[in-house]
Amino acid sequence: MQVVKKQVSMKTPNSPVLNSAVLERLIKEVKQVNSVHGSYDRVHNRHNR
Amino acid sequence: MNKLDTILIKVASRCNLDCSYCYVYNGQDTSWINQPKRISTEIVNNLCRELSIVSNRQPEGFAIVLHGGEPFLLGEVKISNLLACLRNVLPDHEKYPIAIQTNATLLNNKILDICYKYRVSVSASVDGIRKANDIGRFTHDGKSSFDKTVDGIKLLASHDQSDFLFSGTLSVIQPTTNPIDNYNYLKSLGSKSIDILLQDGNHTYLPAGKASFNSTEYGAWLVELFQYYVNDPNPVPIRFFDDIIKIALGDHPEKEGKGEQGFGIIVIETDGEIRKNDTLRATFEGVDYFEGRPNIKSEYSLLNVLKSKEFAAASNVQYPTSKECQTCEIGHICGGGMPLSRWSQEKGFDNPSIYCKDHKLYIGKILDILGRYAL
Repeated sequence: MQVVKKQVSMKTPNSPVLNSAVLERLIKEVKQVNSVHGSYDRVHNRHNR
Repeated sequence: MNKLDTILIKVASRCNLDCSYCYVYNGQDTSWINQPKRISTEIVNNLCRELSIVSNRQPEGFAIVLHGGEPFLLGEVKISNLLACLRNVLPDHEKYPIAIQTNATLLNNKILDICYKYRVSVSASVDGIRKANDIGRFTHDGKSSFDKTVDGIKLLASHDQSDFLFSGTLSVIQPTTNPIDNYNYLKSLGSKSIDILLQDGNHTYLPAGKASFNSTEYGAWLVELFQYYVNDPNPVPIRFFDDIIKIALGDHPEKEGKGEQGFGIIVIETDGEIRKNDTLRATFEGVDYFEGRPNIKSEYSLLNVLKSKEFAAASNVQYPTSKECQTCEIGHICGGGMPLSRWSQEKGFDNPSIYCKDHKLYIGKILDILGRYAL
């Protein structure tokens, strides 16, 4: 059986301007990880346990 | 050799607090009773030898977490000796970050100076405002631990090296409390990063505050917090949500319990026994034992465990097996949640999480908001 994974929608001309500090930071982090490291470095895994 | 992500060292097998929800002392496992109260110099030396062997074989770094019980029950001298030994074999503090998870009640400036000397970060356990903390976090005579904990956190936040030392706070969710009050209070204490945990529980032993598999007390609490967090103009990172958002954006989580990937976690007991992820102890006694009960005292014992099929299987326990998870449209995001919360006496780990409905509720909200911004 093919599982349909839920995805966030694609950007449209009517999308609101991003005004969340949390999301801005995370988008930047994800872009940086993808462009610099290729994959996330899990060394810092579980600092707060 | 399978990859080691985190090695968690039980430096003290007792705690000066008696938290009602503790998976170590108030769960299903009683093996701590027979453990030495503190890790010995002999075990520390053996452990450092084994870590040196592994670090020479594994190109990637790994994290070291000092845990317990309460790790600072070890005392200043023994903590200092332990850290000196670890840093002697793992000198690169970026490749091999060492962190301590503490209830903060025993902190003093001398201990914090020792931690900074060896580049060890400190994370404090506190459940939020006094009302939230006093639901579950007691001393052994049943009194509140709040004042001593907050005093310790303030000391940590005011240390001249707190930028490095204070990695953040860790809170267990008390679903009857106001999540926004807790978040704002932890911010006011200077927490650098706020992490939250669902209370340990499963289909056989329901977590406190959860009425049934279909109820969503925790999910509703998380939705309320997320809506506030995502609109906070000066947010302190909440890793619980950040991991979900990162997965939704195509990245990976930092911590087990979410997403589709394995985690290589090893636990060292105070007597030197090498075990699997200790959070599994919330299910049944013996769940975290490796076959043959390997001990760090034997040369190459850690390396041999890392090479074993048993460790590979334990690292992959995050992947859910139940039919419901495998056909779920958000299964790739929640990853089936923490394995311990899938367990039942009847079907083992082959169930959806007891928090399945909660995961669907808050992840649905997160995806809605990401979708609104067309991310």
